[in-house]
Amino acid sequence: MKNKVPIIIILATIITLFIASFVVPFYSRYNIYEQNASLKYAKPSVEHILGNDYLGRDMFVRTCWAIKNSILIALCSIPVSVLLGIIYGAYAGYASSGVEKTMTAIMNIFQSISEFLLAILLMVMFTSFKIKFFDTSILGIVITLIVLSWVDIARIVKNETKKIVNNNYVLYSELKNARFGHVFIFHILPSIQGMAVIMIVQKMSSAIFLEAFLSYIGIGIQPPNPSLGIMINEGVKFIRVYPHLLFFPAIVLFVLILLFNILGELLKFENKVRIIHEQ
Amino acid sequence: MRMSSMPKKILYNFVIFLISIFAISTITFFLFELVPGNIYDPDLIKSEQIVLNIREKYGLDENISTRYLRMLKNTFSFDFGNSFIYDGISVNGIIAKYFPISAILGSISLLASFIAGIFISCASSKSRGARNIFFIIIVLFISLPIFVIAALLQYFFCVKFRIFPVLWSANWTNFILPSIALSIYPTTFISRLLSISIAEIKQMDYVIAARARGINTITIWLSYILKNAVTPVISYIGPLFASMLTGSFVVETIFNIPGLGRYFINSINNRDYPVVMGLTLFYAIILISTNFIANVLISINDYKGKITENR
Repeated sequence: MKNKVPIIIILATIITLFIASFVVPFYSRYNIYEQNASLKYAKPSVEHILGNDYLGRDMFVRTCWAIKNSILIALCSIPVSVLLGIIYGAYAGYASSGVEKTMTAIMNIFQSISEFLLAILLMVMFTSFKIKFFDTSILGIVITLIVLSWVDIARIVKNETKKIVNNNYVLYSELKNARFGHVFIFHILPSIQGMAVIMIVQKMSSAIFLEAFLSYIGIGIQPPNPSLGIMINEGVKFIRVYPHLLFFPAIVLFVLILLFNILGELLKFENKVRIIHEQ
Repeated sequence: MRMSSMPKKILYNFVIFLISIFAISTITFFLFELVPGNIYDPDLIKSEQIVLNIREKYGLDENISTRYLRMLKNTFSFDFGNSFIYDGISVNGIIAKYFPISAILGSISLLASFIAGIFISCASSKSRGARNIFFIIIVLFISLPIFVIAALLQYFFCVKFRIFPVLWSANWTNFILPSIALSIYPTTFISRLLSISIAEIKQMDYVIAARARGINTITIWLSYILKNAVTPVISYIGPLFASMLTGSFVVETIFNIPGLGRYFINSINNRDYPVVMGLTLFYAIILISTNFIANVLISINDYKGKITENR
């Protein structure tokens, strides 16, 4: 019970940050796209807390909207992907040896092709489409994250399922003609739910990283839509003269990933599981 | 039965290796087929004959299946095609020109991160306090994305304190900051894996027996603990290499290193699709090969373990 307090604090911080980043831009005097030529590269002031970027846009509002973008993308993609991974892994662990071998081979192939290369390929394709009034890039990132994140989860779940399936209670329900769906819902899911939560949190942090990385190299979220990766990329360009353009988005991204990582570590500590984190 | 399991596993991994290369080249080919746009600007070139000539020059006049088969044949013979934007530049030429620098940088960082990772994991296994401190440091560093690390290093050491040069001059001083930036993530990764396995191995009977026999601490660490603790790292060599590659994309663009990573990012931004396609295949082949080698090493290691168990 003692360990629950820090988990709740971190979770509350993340939720507050998310809601605040959603609400602030609507109540701010400044628009995320509004340019002000006289305030180009302006240093932080009372009017503009984090200063202005190279087009004179308010950095604070843009940072808020970028936080909202990263968390929203992670929220839309990772739970779906974890669910897919759990179902795939559970079925692979439950099925007969022939099916299991094929499914494992598919996972091996997916894993030996790096997820970063696949992400770059998919995003190069998604960002080449120019549809009017519709930004394909955000949808593209969500799809890319769903396609890429399930493999690690499926592998862990498969190994867990193999242990669970050997239990007598599973055998008993199989003798009573239980199908895979029944075993999955009543036997496999309850014993991996703690692990699933940890995997969601860990994958969220790597999803935020991947989104920022893709946006940083120019194939993630497309400007003028703000993203922490794009803002860091712009900050690096002016690093010698206007370092504040780099510092604020960099710190925000660091804190965001750190919060999810700490949450994951605390949960792992609570449940006494060891899963190696991969970025 | 046991004797044949190792060649069987190696054969299985080799089949996975071939299918992976086939899969990635197929995915790459069809994704780039989906990309809209022409290699010529239809507003500028009106003449029918010029368009035909351009299509013929780049082999676009054939139908999709012929081009797909040709691409497969080229991939398996390590020929990755030509640039559309820069005339007469082949992807193989680009690789030959730019890859050595990336490879040097990558191997320096990999070596540095192995040494640092071993030191950190040994130091953190000394006491509970040390383990907690290193754990906090590692979580902090894992949360730092590589482009933030690289940018901050450049700001503080090149711009603010002017210790290292900003511009690339192929000098050894140019390699220091990039390799630090590139090795931070692998270091945290390796030290994490190692400290878990060291903590397990330290409590094994043979280590305790060696202590009881009065073998000195350095020998115990080197030949009893570390030798066995390093083996789980092998299975993570694939993800490690992948993180090094993505790191090199970022580090090379930030520190202006004329390596393959920066070229790759530039060609993505220039939409030079054949080069992006060729370099993706090249990177994929490197990654798939390292995974294959790692898997073979693991199966050889398992086999060795089984032999010793049988005795």
